[in-house]
Amino acid sequence: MLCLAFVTTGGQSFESTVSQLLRDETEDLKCFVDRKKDLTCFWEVEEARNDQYTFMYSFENKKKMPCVVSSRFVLASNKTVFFCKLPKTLFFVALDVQVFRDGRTLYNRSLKAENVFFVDPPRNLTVMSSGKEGQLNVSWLPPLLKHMDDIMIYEVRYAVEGSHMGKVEEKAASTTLVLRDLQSGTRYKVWVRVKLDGVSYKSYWSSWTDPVFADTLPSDMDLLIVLLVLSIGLILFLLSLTVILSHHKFLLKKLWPDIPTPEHKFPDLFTVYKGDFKEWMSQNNGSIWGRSVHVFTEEPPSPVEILSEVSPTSYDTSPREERKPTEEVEESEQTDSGLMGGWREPPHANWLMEQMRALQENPESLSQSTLLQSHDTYVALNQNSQHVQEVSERQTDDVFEETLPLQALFTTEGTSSLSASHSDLGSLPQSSGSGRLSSQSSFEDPNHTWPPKGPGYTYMAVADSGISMDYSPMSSSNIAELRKHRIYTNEYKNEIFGNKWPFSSQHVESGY
Amino acid sequence: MKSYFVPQSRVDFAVWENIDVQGQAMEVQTGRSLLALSTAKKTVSNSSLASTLDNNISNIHILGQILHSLDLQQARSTVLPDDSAPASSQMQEVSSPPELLQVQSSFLRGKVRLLLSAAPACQRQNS
Repeated sequence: MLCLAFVTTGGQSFESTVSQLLRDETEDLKCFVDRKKDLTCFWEVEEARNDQYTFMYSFENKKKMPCVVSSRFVLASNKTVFFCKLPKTLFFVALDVQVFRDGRTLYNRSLKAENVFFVDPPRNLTVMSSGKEGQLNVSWLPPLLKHMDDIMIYEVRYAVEGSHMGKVEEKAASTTLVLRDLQSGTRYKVWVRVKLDGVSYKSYWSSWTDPVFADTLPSDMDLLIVLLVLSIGLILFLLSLTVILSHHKFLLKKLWPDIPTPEHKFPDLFTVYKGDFKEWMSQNNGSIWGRSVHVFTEEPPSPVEILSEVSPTSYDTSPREERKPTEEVEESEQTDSGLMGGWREPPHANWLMEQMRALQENPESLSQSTLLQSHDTYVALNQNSQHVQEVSERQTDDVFEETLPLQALFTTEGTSSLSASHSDLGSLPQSSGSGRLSSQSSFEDPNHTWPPKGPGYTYMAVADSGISMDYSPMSSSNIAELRKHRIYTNEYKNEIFGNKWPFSSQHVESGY
Repeated sequence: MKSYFVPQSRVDFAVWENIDVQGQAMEVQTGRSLLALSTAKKTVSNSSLASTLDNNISNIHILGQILHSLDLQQARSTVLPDDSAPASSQMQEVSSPPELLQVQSSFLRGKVRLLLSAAPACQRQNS
């Protein structure tokens, strides 16, 4: 009957209480007061023998009274316990308990009933999101224990689901708690337990409640940051798109510049005359050339020394063979008739001839030559000079190998690279504006032989303003001879720049 | 050997809960008076213990004021350490100051607190 009474006791079962106290209570004779304020004492037995136990107790050193001892096997602890529940419990007075086994004192303990309360765990634990980020609202109900609601201390334990690292927060009297500084968008596990505050009554910690799960709100800040970044990116994209669209022409010119064409310098050449330069020249005879001559002539034409001479009557091979470091540039007259009209009488024709002869006789005067400065432009011309643009497209390796006689050398101080010169060739027409100078490599006309040298010169005065080149026409007196003889330009070789030239004098001759 | 008459500090909840508040108040007041009388006896030779007892006297008086403010003060005339049965059941005799202090502690923690927690003025609004 007594056993049944224990089982039907509300709240925590006797067995679970005993199990917990077997762990928590250090005394051999363990006593506790349940929620009905009845005191029970028990002790565990190793072996279930038929021992006779006697339990005696007394309050305030009054008369000792016996208590009926019972036994129970606790499944949770796998142990057998003997226990006795006092018929009447008095608080705030001394209690003496004694246990005898077979007439011998087994345990003797003095205690006060108000200090050994065993409270049930809190009831109705609920956890909810508080509506704010990283917070949870926890609430519960106190255990059923009369007169003691306001003297309870609670302990709330919470941990991220799956984690073993939990935190504990203590709360006195109140049955609600707000958990703060939690991770956003995380599932948490929450437990609560209770004990009396120890002022008037003392108790053991109750067992933990069953865990309750709750999720914290997802982080607004993360979402906000993502939205802000996306919107800023979109705005920047739209702005850049607007800028690009409004200035697309300008940007296109910068990124994809037009390939310069000389068409604007040659009105109607490509539109009307379909690239027929002869026709175009014949139609535009004198008007453009004369104008451009005056337009682009910024410096007086520099006299050009002659590398070799071409004459139907007499030939002077000495300059070519000797490869004097003269600053002569042999120029060939364009065979195009269209150009003839544009030529004008060079002012220093005869003077140049004499200078050349003087140089041959006296090479030391080369350095003092004032005919041409080292930075002057040297142009070697050749007939078949229709294809101005082709020159610029010549492969540099062909030039080196074939020793193109045609080279327009734009020498600046210290530089004399062929590649630079060839690139300049292409720009010659633009810079001169006259277009009279056209060049073609001699290897295109391998059958042409060098005409017999003669006293006749074909030369051109070159004015290099640094920006454009202007070529004065050669003597028209030689034009007729030039027509008969294809003139090949010799490779210019000047001793001043000799060390920079990759060729030797033999190359020059081999080209012919 | 001097003896001190001190209140009974024991609490039988089964009995206490059947007593009304006024009855509880009377018990508390009787006990408080006894403590005051006993504490006032300066019979201790230990100076530290004497100072502790002096503090108790002031505390007991403060307790009387609290009870009065809660309208729980009962007529002192009813409380007398005589041989009447009610008095004996509410009184016990101790022989030493430590026992006196222990009883006083139990009395305050037990009956006094129970009375104060049950006083209407001390009830929580959301109990």
